[in-house]
Amino acid sequence: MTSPSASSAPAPLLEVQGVSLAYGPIVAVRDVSIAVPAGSVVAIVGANGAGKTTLLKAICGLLPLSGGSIRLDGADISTLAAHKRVGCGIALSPEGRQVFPDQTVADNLELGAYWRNLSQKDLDAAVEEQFAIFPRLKERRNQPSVTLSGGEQQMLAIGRALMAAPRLLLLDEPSLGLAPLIIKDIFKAIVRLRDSGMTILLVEQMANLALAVADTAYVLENGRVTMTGTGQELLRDPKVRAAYLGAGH
Amino acid sequence: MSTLLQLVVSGLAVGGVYALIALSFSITFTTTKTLNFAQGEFVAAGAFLGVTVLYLLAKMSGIAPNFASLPVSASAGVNYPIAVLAVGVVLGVLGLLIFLAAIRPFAGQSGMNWVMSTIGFGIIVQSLGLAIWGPAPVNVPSPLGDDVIRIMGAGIRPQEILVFVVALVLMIGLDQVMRRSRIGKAMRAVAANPQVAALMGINVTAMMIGAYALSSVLAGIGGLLIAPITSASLFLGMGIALKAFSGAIVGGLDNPRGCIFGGFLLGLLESGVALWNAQWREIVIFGLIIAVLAIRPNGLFGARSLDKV
Repeated sequence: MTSPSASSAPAPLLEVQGVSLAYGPIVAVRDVSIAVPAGSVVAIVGANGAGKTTLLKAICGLLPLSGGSIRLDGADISTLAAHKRVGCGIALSPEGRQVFPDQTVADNLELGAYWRNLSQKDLDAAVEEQFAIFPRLKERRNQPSVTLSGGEQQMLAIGRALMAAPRLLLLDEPSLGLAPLIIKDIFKAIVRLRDSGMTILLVEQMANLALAVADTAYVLENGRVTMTGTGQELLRDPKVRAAYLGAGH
Repeated sequence: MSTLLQLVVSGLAVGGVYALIALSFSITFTTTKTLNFAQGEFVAAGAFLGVTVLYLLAKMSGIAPNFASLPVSASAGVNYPIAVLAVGVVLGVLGLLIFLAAIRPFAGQSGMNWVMSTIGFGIIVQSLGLAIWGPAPVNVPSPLGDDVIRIMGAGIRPQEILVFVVALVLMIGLDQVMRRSRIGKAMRAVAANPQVAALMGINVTAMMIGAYALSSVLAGIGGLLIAPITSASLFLGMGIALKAFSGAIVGGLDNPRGCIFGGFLLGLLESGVALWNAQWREIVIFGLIIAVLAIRPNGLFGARSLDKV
């Protein structure tokens, strides 16, 4: 943890510095720097294919960096294997939910806490915590997760990430493919998590929603950060409004 | 009636081994998307390693046994269980080796290099076996003795019952482990989505090594179980592995329970058709496999790709 006595601004919990990422010869992210201070919500908005998901995958260790570094709490985790990063406090709710389809809701949640090696009693308590956040999951606890609706699967994906007891929660397109009412529910949950002090890095195509909950936001275009500011600033920015919020917002 | 009983018992015994090996194919396929084409050689290696352990145990107890036809006492008492255990350990190590040597370098890559590398690994194992044990088949005594039991007029070999029971217990045990234990659920998570499994903190490579080790253990034990019925031969595994693979394909390679069903189905069919006309056995069985695949390309219980969201 950062020293509270430091007079300068504390180092951010997550620091992405000059990161470049490539799929073979195709460069997807170029020289991107992002900081996520502890206790804040940071949003990355941008069009489909801008490199948002690629960046989150790299933060989780699913994609090797071709340049730059990733620091968590000051420690360089750039080359740490993916399965070890969750133990450092990073958990991802992936794009498209990606719940384990043949396993039940409860089993999916328990897998989220795999690295913590909890006793069954503590595991049950942690599962109950997720049910408190997402009551609909409780009704479905013994159903295979493939039978859940898209919104329920999204709740499950977020709950599964929370089961890891993360210090940094990464949310990749939580609104993807969901009905407006369900999206509202999901964002209410995100706001509650924010208010409880969770540090969140949120990637969204629905820029208006993401900017509304974000303390800081970055606009990613063709793999580069083209704009940054507070969520409110970007919400009011005419260029952002024209490019991502569309007419009528 | 007595022939029917005999047919069912021998079908269940051979089917049990097919089911065990079919399950072993499914285990590596679901977790790594690769298959061990050396599985037949692993079956034979299991049989011969088992015989070797029985031989050494007999020698230690003071008998001067003949390797090619061990006395019944060689398998008696704890000897056979010890042999099964030893085979399990050695084949587990062999599974680790084949993963590191023949699968790991190609995992996650497109292409079929692992097909050739596992076949090559199998040929190496077989050649080593020939150098150590020679090409002659070896009779293996059953731990329950080789006297045929008469039940309702049917002649049943005790080993047939043992094979069926052991195979069934192993498979039910594994099924429960995969469904209920933490490690089993983690393994299924790796099978469903290795990237997301890694996000849970699951060491995906370790799980894949475990899958290969487990799969190889099943192959080796399958070989030692069937050896007292067929006699051990270094060429024994190929046919068994091919039938087991067929059973896995018929049942659905990605569905462990389907594979077990397919293995038993093939064993029963085989003994049924053989009773009617031995020459037609292979023709009927493989004709049926082709027909099943034509109608259900993913096997009887395999997930159809269309069902995947």
